[in-house]
Amino acid sequence: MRPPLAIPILALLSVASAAPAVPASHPAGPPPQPVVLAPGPPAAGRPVRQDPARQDPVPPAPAQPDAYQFPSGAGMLFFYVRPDHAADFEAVLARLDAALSATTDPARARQAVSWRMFRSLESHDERIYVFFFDPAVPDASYDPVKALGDLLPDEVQDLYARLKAAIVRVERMGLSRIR
Amino acid sequence: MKLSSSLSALRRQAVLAVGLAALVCAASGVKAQDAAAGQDPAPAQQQDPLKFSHNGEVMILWAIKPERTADFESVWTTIKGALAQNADANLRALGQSIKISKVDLPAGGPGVLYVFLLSPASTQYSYNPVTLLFETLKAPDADPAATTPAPKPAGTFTYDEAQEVFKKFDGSYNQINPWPLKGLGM
Repeated sequence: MRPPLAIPILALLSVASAAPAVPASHPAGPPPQPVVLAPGPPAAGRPVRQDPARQDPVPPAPAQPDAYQFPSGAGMLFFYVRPDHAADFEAVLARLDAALSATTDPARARQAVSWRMFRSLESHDERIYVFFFDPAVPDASYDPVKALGDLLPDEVQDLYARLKAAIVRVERMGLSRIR
Repeated sequence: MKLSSSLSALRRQAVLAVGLAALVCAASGVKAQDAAAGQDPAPAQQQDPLKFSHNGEVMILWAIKPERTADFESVWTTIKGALAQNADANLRALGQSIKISKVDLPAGGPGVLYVFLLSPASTQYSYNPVTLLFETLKAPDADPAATTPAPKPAGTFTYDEAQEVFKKFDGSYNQINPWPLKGLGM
């Protein structure tokens, strides 16, 4: 499940500088709504509800667009992490980094070329990590849990549990390259 | 260069430098509170908020007025073009360090968002467009003794050229947030 939270992306601007999201001199307007994500469990760990008594065919749910894809060709993910779990979060990123660097999967190898990870040096209540994809492979998912599941299937349950404990929320930004 | 032009340019730079600093500082509630409490006395001289001492990457988030996005993009296209053509290899590297993207969200709040990833961020040069136009990429003054003026070096701006570009930048932004980053692996 990826429960959406009503947190405007411009909270990012506020977090980045402890700034008011909208300057007082600026006319008030609706802020752009972000896509706020939460890391989903690996496929093997997702609970499946089954009702043996139910015979009616259940129509398949409409396919949801993968919010971790960046069809515009570039994008960013922002991970807000509990400070006391930051070291653990970075340890998981190190495993992801090593796995991406070593992968022989052509699709994941293409992603690895431009998959960059940063830690914000600004001090806030939560640690902020930034994934930057430029260029992004348009049809590929940058969901870190999916990547861990593909690359490190034997470790993914443990790594997912550590990510889940560390992450407060995830935000995405699709980007269009200008220059 | 005419003296009046020089003074005008200096005033413009000073005003804008203070404006940028004020924008960034005013945007920082923590800093504002500290200053108000007397814990962080204001420096004697305003620092350029777009000149970085941090070794690594910096992300700058620009909130641009929706009706001025074409101007803003034009300014940076011009500046990056000049940096790419400049004879100084350090300035060409400066231009290559700037990746500019536009956030795919409808305009709202502070405006249309642009993301600059500076990788690596220069510790030598400011990313303040006014400093770039009027100082870093300033064309050499003409030699008054020369009978024929020397051609302007590629990738530089005369005062008048810089002023034309500056007009497009002036007042185009609502908010600027520089954000230093540390790379992890990859």
